[in-house]
Amino acid sequence: MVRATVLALVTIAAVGPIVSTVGAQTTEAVAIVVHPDVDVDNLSLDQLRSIFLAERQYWEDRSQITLLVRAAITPERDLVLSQIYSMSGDQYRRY
Amino acid sequence: MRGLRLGLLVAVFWPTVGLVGQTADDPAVRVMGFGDFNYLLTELDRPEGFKMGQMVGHAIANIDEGLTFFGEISVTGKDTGYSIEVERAQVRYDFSDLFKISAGRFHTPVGYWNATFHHGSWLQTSVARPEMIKFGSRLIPTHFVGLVAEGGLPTSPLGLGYSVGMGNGRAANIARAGDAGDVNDRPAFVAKVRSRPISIVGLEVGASFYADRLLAHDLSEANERIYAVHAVLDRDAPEILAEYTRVNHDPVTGSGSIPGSDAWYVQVGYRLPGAYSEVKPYARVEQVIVPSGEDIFAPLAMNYDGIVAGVRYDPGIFLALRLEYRYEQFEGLETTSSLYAQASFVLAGS
Repeated sequence: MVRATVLALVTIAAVGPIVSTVGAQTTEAVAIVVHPDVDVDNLSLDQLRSIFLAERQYWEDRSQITLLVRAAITPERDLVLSQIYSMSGDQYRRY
Repeated sequence: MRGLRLGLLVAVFWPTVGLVGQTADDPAVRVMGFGDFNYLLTELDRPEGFKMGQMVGHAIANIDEGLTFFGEISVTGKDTGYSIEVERAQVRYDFSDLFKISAGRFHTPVGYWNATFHHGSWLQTSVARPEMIKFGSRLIPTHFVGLVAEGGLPTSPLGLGYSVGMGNGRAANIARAGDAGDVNDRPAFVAKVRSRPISIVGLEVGASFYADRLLAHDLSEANERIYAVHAVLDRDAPEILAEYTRVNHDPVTGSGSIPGSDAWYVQVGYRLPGAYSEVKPYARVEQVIVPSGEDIFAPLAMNYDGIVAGVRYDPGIFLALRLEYRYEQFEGLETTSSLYAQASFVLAGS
């Protein structure tokens, strides 16, 4: 059985349990959602960044983190690039 | 492991799919390709004109939970035909973020460039690697066959990480890794520590150490010690890469130490803002200094001074065009000028 658990970035209108929100200055709030089995109820921006940069690939219980992010045409992509990756689209692709 | 990360994450923002990512139902194998095509004008005594570059294939397979395979194969155009090389082949098991162990053929984790920008020139800003770390370099062993453990403390503010390895070291041809075994009974060791503060994306400082006993061209043996430090801000605006490496050789028999060799480079780049964001000018200054009394390297005429200036233009998502001027002096030759034009691209797979 794969123990991978999911970290998803979705618009707030589509969320389940909200763990943390980022990008409050944007017109559309974004929520970070984790699988209910994951014992995480708060993530700082640096923690989120370490996950998205693949520096952190495991939760504390050693289950693997699997990222789910909506399509590039959605507003979340721009927010993730600017707020979490601090990268341009070109630099992200190279990364 | 940047290539591996790219492979895992490239699907996340793939524009034609909806909710995507790495899941248990994903294909077990992902593939990617890189290629480049070049044109050269030079004062060097080399053939000019169009040149096939290097075609590179990456394959990443999730074998089991925590167990992955990564392979990299290159096809390079040469005067005598095409050569096929297994550049990297690694089986890795992840115990945690702190401890991952791999076996196979690696890019030696010494310095920054060699362990970050792999085959596939699209990945790097310039047309080619710095002289000190070019593929086939005799100064630094670019490939390493053996075991490597690596990990990091992703929750630490400094983003501390490490790599340690034990392997075969250089082959009898010191430009090659010991793919068929060690040339002596002394394994090579490599260790690297780095800090990658998570709050400053792209910043990394680190230090590396490599130790081996190599077989010199006169069949004598020498202990080799390589010390390297690097400080980089690997971003688009600005990009600043700086590395320094010292290589010491001590003959196993004979009259003690011989002078060490030094090599360094500094590369800067800056992607222009706004409507010109497809354009990234860059420049690099580099040097390889081998003293005349260096018994291992000096006969190989490795001294080098180079100034590189170029422009990278990205007209498409996975296409880069470069125009690069080089002003170089190779040991024993007059200074020369060269002009390179290159198209490099990525073939993103499933």
